[in-house]
Amino acid sequence: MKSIKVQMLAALLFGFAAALIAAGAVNAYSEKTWFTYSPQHKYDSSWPTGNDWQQRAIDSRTAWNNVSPTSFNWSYNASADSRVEYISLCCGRLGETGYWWCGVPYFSNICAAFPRIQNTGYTWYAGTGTPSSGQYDLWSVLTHEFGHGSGLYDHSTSGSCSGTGGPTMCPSISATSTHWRTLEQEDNDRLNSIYP
Amino acid sequence: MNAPWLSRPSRMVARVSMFVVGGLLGLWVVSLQAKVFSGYGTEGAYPEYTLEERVSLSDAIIEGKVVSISSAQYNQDSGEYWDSSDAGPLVYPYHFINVEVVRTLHDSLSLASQVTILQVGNSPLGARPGLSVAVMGHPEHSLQVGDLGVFFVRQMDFPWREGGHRPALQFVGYAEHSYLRRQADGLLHFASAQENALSVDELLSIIHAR
Repeated sequence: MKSIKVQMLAALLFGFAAALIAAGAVNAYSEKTWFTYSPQHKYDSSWPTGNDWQQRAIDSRTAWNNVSPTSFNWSYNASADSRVEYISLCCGRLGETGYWWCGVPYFSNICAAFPRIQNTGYTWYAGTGTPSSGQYDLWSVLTHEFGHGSGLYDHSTSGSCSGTGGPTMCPSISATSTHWRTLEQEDNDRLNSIYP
Repeated sequence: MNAPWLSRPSRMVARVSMFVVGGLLGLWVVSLQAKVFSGYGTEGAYPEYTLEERVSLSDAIIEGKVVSISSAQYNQDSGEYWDSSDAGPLVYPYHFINVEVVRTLHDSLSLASQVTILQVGNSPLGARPGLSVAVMGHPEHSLQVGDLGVFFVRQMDFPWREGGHRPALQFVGYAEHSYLRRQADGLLHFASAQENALSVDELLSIIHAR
């Protein structure tokens, strides 16, 4: 019969290891997601006050809110940390999303996101029709950014992405294209997978 | 020692108790790292360019080999995270890709034999160790040291805490779409499998036609 001390020590070490593995597993599962399923955002003072721009922000977040069966849902709150911005961005980007992770090492989540639209070098179309030559579609790019803000990385470029077709989370879009306004099945599936 | 004073059920209770104690100890070790973790990152969207557009927008088109890739840090001299103000430049993580030039297919910048491309965002190598704010996000390219290819680059300002901006060689648009990888068949391949590979001569004819 084994020594009870040895058995108890083994149980201690096993419990220690199990706790660390469980913590790591939770971390991997929750990678780059909000802790809440109901993130909120406000409008930065830089965001144009015209109805079109605010309505396009609503349309963009609504695209993700309509994904089912997940209950993930963006909403507006004037005191939210996250905000939509219209500012100068680097590197030729049309838009970007900055995001903060916070928490403890094995249990970190997104705690604030900043969907941004480039205010320099590009002409934006803020309507619901078809952009004119050379214009980029605000609704499309902001829907992509809300996807990042929700926790999704860019779609792999080895698949179905082209400038005029493919999922909303593809990394680039042509001028005048509007196809990012509507999510594709892959976008839906990815959101459902991280917010089951 | 066999602990004969413990009955079989008591030994089981002791084992379970130690398992619980061990688990709590593990969670305590995890919690020791609390309050020290935060991370920041950005993910971007870019204009989609045709090959012809990319050629036109490039200040240089170089055939070369990736000789090193740096880890990621933030855009100030110290490399640490910083809080950007409303009016000033934004904080960005970035890293460098060093390319040994085999030949230039187009060069309006008089580049040296080795060029450094600045790429916004996280690095395939991750963040520089020791940063107080971790760099989050996926790299926007899949380049590795040793990769051969053709790189489309242009000189652009990159936001910098000290001085506002710094000129830097950067990819034209989305990085993964801004180089053609030379593969075993000798042809230059796009990242997207939807586009046909082409030879250097075919690319040169497009460049000369611009």
